[in-house]
Amino acid sequence: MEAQKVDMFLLMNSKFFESHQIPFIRERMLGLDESKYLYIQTAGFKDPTISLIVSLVGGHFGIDRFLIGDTGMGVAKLLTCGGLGIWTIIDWFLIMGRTREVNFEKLQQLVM
Amino acid sequence: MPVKKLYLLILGFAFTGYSWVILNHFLLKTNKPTLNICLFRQVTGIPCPSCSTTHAVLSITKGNFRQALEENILGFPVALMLLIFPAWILADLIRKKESFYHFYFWAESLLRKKWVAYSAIAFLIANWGWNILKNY
Repeated sequence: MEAQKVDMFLLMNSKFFESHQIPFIRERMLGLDESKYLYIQTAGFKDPTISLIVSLVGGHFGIDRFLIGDTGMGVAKLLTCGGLGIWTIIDWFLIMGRTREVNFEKLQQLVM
Repeated sequence: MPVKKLYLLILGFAFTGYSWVILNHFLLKTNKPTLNICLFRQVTGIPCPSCSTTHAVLSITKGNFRQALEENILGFPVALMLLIFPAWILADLIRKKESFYHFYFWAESLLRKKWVAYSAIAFLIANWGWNILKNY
């Protein structure tokens, strides 16, 4: 894949990933076939800021976990009053990192 | 999510769940008010969809299934999960298998299916409405 295209992608999407993951993503994307670019562009990564807002508003019901695709954890959070209220508060601090982690896992599946 | 992380998380949840149920059992036995740390209820005054689940689980342990149904129907899946999941995980760890791990992701993919998700949401909203009505 062209370096210009990869850099443009990273410029536009760096907020979806942890900063330490960027060099790895760049390296993997440079070694990819051009045809994969469209798949990566349209992957639909989750915005960590949106996750945080959802977590602040509906985190008690596990909606933040459902949003990022952690359905099992969402159900656990929903059935336990937001993990007795403690998990809700912990997730306000963790959800952005978990969203980036999920985005990275999704990207890894695409580039493998 | 790696297998070990998932198993540790669920065993941790199960341990917390059992401790919570036992604590509330002793509080009820000594006629003290049970703990209410539901954030949503504290802030809005309205019970959340899973409020009274602890009471329902305690009723199930005493064999009062009808009372459990009246308190919160979600007590049944929670009691089943508390009973089955830790045992399943421990059996997996002993036999060095990953059957629970596969089940977890199968259940997740099932819940992501539109008709299952919509039915679950409709059921939860209906149960929540009933939960609110019972507490007023």
